[in-house]
Amino acid sequence: MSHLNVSRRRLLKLLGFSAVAAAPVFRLGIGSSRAGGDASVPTRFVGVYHPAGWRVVPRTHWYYESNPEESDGFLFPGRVRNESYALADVAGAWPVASEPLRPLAEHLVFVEGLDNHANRGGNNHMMGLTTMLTGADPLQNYNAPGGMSLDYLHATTAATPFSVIPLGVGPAVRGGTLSFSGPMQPIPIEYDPMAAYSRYFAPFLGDDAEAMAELARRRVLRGSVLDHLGDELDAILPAIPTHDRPRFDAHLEAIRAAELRIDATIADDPSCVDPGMFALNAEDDALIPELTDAMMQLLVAALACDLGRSASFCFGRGTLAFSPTFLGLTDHYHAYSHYGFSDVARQAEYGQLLGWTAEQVASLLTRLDQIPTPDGRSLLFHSLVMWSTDNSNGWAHTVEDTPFILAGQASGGLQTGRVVSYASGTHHNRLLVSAAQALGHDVETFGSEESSKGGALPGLFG
Amino acid sequence: MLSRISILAFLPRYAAMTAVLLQCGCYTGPASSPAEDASTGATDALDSTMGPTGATADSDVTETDAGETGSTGDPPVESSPLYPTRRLTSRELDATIRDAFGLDETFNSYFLPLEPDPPLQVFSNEVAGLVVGAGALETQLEAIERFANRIAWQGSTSPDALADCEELEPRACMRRFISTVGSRLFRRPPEHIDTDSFLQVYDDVLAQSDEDAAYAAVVMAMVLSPRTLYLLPESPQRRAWSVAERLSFFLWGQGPDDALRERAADDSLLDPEVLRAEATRMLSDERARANLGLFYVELLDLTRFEFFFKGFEYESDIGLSRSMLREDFVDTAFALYTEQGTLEALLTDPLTFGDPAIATNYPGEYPGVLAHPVFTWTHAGNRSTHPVERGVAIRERLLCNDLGAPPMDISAIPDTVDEGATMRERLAIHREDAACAGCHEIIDPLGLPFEGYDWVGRARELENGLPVDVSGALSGAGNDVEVEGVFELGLALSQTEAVQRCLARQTLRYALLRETDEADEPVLEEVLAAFWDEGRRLDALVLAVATSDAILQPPGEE
Repeated sequence: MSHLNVSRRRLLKLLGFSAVAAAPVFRLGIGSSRAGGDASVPTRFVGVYHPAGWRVVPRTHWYYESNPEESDGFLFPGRVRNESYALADVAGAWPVASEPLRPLAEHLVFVEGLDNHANRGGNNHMMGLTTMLTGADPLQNYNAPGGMSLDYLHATTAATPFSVIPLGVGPAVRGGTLSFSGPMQPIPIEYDPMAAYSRYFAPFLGDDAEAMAELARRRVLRGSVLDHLGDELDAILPAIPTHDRPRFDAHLEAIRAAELRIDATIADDPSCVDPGMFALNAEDDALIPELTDAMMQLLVAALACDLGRSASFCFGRGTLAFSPTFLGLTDHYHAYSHYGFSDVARQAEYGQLLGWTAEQVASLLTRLDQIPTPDGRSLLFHSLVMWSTDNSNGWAHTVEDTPFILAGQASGGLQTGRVVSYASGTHHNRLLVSAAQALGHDVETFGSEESSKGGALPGLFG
Repeated sequence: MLSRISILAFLPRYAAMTAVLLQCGCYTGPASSPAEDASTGATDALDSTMGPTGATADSDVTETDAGETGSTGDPPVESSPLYPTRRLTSRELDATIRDAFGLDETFNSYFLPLEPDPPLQVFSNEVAGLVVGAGALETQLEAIERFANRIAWQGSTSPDALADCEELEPRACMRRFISTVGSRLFRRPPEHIDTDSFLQVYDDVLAQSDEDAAYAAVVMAMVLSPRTLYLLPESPQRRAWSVAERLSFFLWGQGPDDALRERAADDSLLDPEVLRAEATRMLSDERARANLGLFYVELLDLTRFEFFFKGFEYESDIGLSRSMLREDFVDTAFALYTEQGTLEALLTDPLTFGDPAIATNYPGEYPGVLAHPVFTWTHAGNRSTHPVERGVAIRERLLCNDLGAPPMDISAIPDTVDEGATMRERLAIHREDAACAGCHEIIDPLGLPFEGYDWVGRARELENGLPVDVSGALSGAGNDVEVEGVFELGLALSQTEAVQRCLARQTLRYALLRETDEADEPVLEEVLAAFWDEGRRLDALVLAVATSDAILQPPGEE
């Protein structure tokens, strides 16, 4: 009996028993584009994160109240709640730190007034990172969210070689990520471009006999190993006490997901090009601009090559932050959020750092826009980019009014060029619901059910 | 779709209890009657732990009715300690693989790039967090594939199991390899290894690829096997092996060594005297260092120390690294076991920094592990001390109080009140707010004695040019006492029964891989009795747990 037959048999069995699974596995066929785009071009999702908040000064602080016209970093001052504005109409009030995004205004939606309500307790910065795309109630530790992240959910829509491609820059230590395949299931980010290349690209590049043989060998090896592993777990399962079963079910589901990706390959598409290798010391903060540039190229190439339907990018993770010495600044990213508002010099430096971050995001969007798709659009048109942070105000660890910047048209599902402002107390879970629905997922809640009340946000997508 | 139920499905019964406990705490305010909060059905955890008699403190916490949560259809509380089925942590897996394949520490971790598992609640080895999800498996496949290819590429020369394989034909050699390495990886007698099923993997891959690939596939299949990855329920035939496994993961964080395997093979480990002798041997072995050191790192919530960069002026410029400080902390903790140190010694003995780089940068007095820079650095801000965090760490981790999360609508510690205000003055202001006072009256006085240590843990005498005030108090723990500085605080804590009980409970938790509950009370009482009989020696506490039913898991129960 070949291992393939065993595998198929086990898969069928699993399908019959998958009701206990906490995580959906593959939902092939959904997630493709909606109105306006060519249905053959799938929509991509990209999560982008930077540490420690957006605001130099919190809205509720006396400083802000006595300087109402002052831009607080990224936000548009003087707006009315529950209103939507064309960016062109508020151009005069463009927030200082997000100035680099101005040329891309037609691709953007600034979403304001949302609370990352799940971010409470524990290490607030790390927790905010964890909850940004999960919206799941924390289980005390920052690495222990109660659920799947939006990027991973979207990555389950296709049997691409990988699920999420989680990349970033920042300290070369493990810990902290945006991406989770389920409760307490972090997917670590890759911060070394060479390692990212060798993991995501190397196995699939090259069409010579040697490369093909290597890829074939990898498939045989993984197929055989996963098959054996699945059979072993099946055999062991009856002896596992009931209360320990869900973790074994998750393991079996994971094997199933991995098996379905074994034969996946890189897209045969002219826009899929080898991004090349980048030999940069990922531990050197002075190289953060070069590392960011390299990682952005890898990220865009990974999406163009359809190595995964989702990607994420982290400019450091919470308190795991780099020092922007390349800007002549001496403290590290997270530390800048913790100076008092009266420390004008440090606040100016913080604004400079946020501005640099916005430049990098602008460069990511521009790159996505430069990749053509077969329907005459661009990869940016067929993407939904969601950029945010762990806190609204990193100094006070407040989560109310955390801005989210959306970019790309989600294959036509998102009307861009707007600022949309929601009522105070609107949880960001509802944004996750809206985004998931726009990406083709049939969900009514995301993360915490309680915080998802009200469902999709009105006036955003569609 | 990703509901609370599905989250709890991942957590055994004891974690559901925590979820309830987290919803309450001192922030419910002194005016409310906590036990009557019908909406959660929970007891106010802190109040119940803060009774006048320290002796009953902790048992009250665990009497919260776990069954009431009901979301997971949990069985009723069992009559014996329950040892859960759990996955090894990455650190344990790394050590187990190195041991099984005969690789020493010089084997490049590039070839074994396992992702660390941070603590879920208190300890990283707690069962609830250790899930092999889809994302983790993708990462694990990459890592173990790299390792397996490396082992296969090395050929038969390195792993000792293949040392004289030249005389055997490849398949026979592979059979012996599976049996030898499998026994170590799976913590089972060789005769319990399903050699044929792994040989089938070898044959399958060989039929489609080359011999190296077949070899790599066997290595991958064995390392990724649930028999390697999980501490599985014991079968009656291998009870001594299970005891060996539990003991070894408790003390060393890795599988049993050859000596312990022998005691398992002839069942002698089930003899309490032999078990005690083995535990004593293992406790003083260097392999206990990392695991017992890690116990204190995680107990005191110091895992994020390695992530807590505070600006290079404190690090690269002075030749001092955080890993250096962390190793020093682990050495300090481990020395207390090998030198029969007591709880008092842990919390009051003056630290001596072996490394000159640390000694130079940390002049002054550092009494006990709470004064170690790793503690005071971690529980501090970027440029300020953090008495609240320091107090919370002591409340939650050494007194086993569950404070719950602060309410969402409170403000942070004021920072613009007065530029010249001391931390103590700023904290006094927030205690004037009734919403804050409920908790901070009992938290802040535990953190303020640490004001003699700055945000990187250096001893200091001045703050903003004023002499630091290190007065504080321990209250609500059955041993109310005013203290001056960390030495007096450490002494008071060590003499508090609630602290002794909490340390015993946390040690038991480390062995049982889960939060303890009322079913564990008999074992806890035995352990405590031994701890007290031996003058509160830390090694006696660990030995008592190592020889208790937590490790033995007498048959007849689940």
